[in-house]
Amino acid sequence: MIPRKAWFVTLGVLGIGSLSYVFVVQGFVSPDPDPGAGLGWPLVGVLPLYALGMWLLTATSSRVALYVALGATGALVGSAFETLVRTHPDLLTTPGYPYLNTVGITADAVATVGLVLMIGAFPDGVIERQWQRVALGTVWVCLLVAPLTLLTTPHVVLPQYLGLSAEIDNPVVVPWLEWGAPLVDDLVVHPWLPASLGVLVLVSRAFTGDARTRARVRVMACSVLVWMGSWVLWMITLELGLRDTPLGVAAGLMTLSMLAVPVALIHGILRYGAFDVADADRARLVVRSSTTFIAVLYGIAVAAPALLLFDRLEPVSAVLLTALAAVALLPLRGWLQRAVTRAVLGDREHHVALLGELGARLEQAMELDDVLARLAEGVRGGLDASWVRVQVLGADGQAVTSPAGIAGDVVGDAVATQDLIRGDEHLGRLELGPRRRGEYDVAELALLQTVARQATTTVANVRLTARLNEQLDELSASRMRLITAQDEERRRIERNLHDGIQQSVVALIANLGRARQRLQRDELRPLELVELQDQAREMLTDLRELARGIHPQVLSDRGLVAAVESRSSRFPVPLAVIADERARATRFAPDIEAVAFYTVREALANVAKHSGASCARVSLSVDGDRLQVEVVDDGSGFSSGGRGSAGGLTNIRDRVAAVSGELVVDAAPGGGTRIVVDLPLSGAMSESVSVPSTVERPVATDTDDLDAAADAAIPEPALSTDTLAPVHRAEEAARA
Amino acid sequence: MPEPLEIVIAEDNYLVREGVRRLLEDSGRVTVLAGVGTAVELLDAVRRLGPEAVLTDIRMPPTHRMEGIEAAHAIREAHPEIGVVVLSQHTDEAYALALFENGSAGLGYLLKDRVGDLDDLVHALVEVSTGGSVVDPVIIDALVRRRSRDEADPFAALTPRELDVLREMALGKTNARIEEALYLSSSTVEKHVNAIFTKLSIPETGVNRRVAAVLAFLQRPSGDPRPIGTSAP
Repeated sequence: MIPRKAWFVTLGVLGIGSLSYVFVVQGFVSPDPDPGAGLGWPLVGVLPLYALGMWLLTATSSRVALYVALGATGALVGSAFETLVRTHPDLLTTPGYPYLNTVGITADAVATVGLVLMIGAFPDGVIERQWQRVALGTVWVCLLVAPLTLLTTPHVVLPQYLGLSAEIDNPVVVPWLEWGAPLVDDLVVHPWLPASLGVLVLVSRAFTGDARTRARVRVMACSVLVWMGSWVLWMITLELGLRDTPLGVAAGLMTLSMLAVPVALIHGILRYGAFDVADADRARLVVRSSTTFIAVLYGIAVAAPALLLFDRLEPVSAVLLTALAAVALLPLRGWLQRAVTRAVLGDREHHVALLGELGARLEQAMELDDVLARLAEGVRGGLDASWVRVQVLGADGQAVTSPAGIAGDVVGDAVATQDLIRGDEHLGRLELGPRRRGEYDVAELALLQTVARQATTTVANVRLTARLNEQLDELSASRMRLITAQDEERRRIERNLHDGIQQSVVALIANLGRARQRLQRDELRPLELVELQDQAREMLTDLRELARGIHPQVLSDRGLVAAVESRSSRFPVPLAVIADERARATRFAPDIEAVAFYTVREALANVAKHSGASCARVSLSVDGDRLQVEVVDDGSGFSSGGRGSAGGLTNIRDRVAAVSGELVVDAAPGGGTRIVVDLPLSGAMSESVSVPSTVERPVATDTDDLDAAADAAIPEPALSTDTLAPVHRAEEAARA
Repeated sequence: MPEPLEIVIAEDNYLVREGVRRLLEDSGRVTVLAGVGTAVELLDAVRRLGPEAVLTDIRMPPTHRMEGIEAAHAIREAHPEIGVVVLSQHTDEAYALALFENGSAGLGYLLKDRVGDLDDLVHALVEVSTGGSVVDPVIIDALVRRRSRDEADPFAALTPRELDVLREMALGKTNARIEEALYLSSSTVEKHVNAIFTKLSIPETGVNRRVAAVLAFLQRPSGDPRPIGTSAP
């Protein structure tokens, strides 16, 4: 296989050399008055195709590009040969001419073969059917035209388009092969057969191929039909031996219609990226060469009218015509340049647009699946992927199938993946199916990374918002539970006061009244007064217990450890209280003490009521800036969800959560129960001074119950309006 | 009849303060030099009037926490000859331990219920004015309950009757008054008292000091609490 570069150099030298020769000779040395000859064909008919072919050689690796360049170069060389012979007719009589002649007919054959193959294999060299491949394969035989004619024809076969006729003896003809001469003439020398085959293949593909092929080939098929039609017309005029105007018109038509072919090629490139011109690593080269190409085209188009009418125009008119053409065609040139740039670099511009657009899209997304769907769709559109799948990872590091963003039909394995990583957290993965056209290049993969980073932030934010909402719900629920518990507590206190102590006071009043009456009757005995005193003492004890239940004063006055120890002396089950030095020596913030004490009280209540434990232990320790409260018993334990202590545990959990603490319950049936509460000692909530001993405290608030203390500890400041506002907006948006 | 004991009463509730003042003065054994409503006024009155004993509430303005205990400490420090009885609503032993944390001489801790027992109240005031100590039996109960969880602790070895005697002893009662209160014979009380001191390994001491000795013992940390699951029931 000859390297593309070698092709480019060879064809470039041959083509430019031939063109220059024709241009100089036909244009300045000896202009050919014969219509149909001259500069029209090489400049207008062939040059655009040649330039396009050479450009395609540099821009793509498509086989069809080589056919175009090859065909056009053949045509140019043929044109140069014709010019040579027409300007030097005496060459025909030289003895070496039969050999020189092979250059001309071979050049014509190359042109035929190249163009026919280009027509048939357009746009990407892939031919769908067997018979089409065979048909196009036979065309290669034409390249053997030189040896075949030399061997079989008694007279030298002059090139078709030479326009001269002469009988020159073929010095090397093999007489017994002469019978094949007509065959060679019809099948190889004349381009009828190969041209028909090429058109047949193209037309059959344009009408019977699959939808994609039909769509791609149709414009080229129409262009070729027009071109072939005018070519046939021209050949007929040549065969009929017509000259002058008819021949000139036919040649002009043919030349102009030839322009339809490069136009169709360009259409293919612009419309659906024929020849894979959009392959991004070549994009810059393509744009540069296309700029040159368009400049050349423009130059040709500007010069063409004056050159075509060279012999009929005054110099002034020619200059005017050229200037007019230059002005008139200028917008066309600009449009073409922009169109090519857009077609080739459009992807890159689109990439930037993708980034911006994706950002805006993701901003609007509030739900995770929405974000993922938009992300997948955006990436698929931007990178031209056949499919894109975005998955988030669950807590266990496994991909979660729902929600997931999927664009396109997921078929086969991913060819590119991009992990969504934020900090050291692996949030998810972005997978790409094969590119719809070509392969992903480095720039696109880099873009993918950028997009992934952007998406990661959004995914993280959306997740955070979701988590925040969850916590908000949990917080609202927990606050509701605390309020309910507080109300219940108030009702219980009211019941105790009303049914217990108030009734006792009423009884005491009644008994005092009775004592007064008995005193008046001198019947009162001292023992009766002692009884009344005892009655009052009992009331006092009841009141004391009630007050303790509402709030243990010892907790505020003597601290957590004293309060817990005080409780332990009243506990029905043997109870050990272990407190380390720091726990004993430290006064914690009131909310922390309240929550810790409440935890111990509820846990011990559970131990006493449910566990049947023989002993229990409360440990209080300070580790760094955490207070750890542990309540352990050797009782029956419970399975999670069982036993009546669930309510108590929920209350503990709520209160612990209110001061950002942690609760661990370790219980198994028969294995005892262990409750550990870990409370933060630093932070906004515990910044209050340990004991406000000098602060004026109204008597009424002295009996504030634990619930009130715990309520006050709900971290309101952590949910400032700033943090809540976006959440509310999010919710509203979701509702909307 | 001895000279009436001169005392100062501190109590922020007017009704209670005047009730206690009348109760004590009616007994003829106590002269109330002043009745005040705050700890600051109390310290001022003590400095001005030089009473033999002080009867003070524990919770007073401004903070309603432990002003009475702080005042008691201040008085004992400035005037070691003045005894202080703290009247409290708190049955939590923590308050009594706070009161006695620097020694129990000349200090008493009584629940407010005791205002009904004039004799006990007057006796407590006399006791602290002579450097003795008084503890409400409720507090003794709490301390003993806490200690006797451990079977190895000496308190666990006390019989219920010995505990009864201990409670009366804590009020600073002489053996004679214990006999009276528990309807026991003199020898029985003496036997119980001796048993208590033997079981607690406290050296025998005068009546005046024995409450302090028991308190000192109670305040000592008990043996390591039994770890969970290591002991057979």
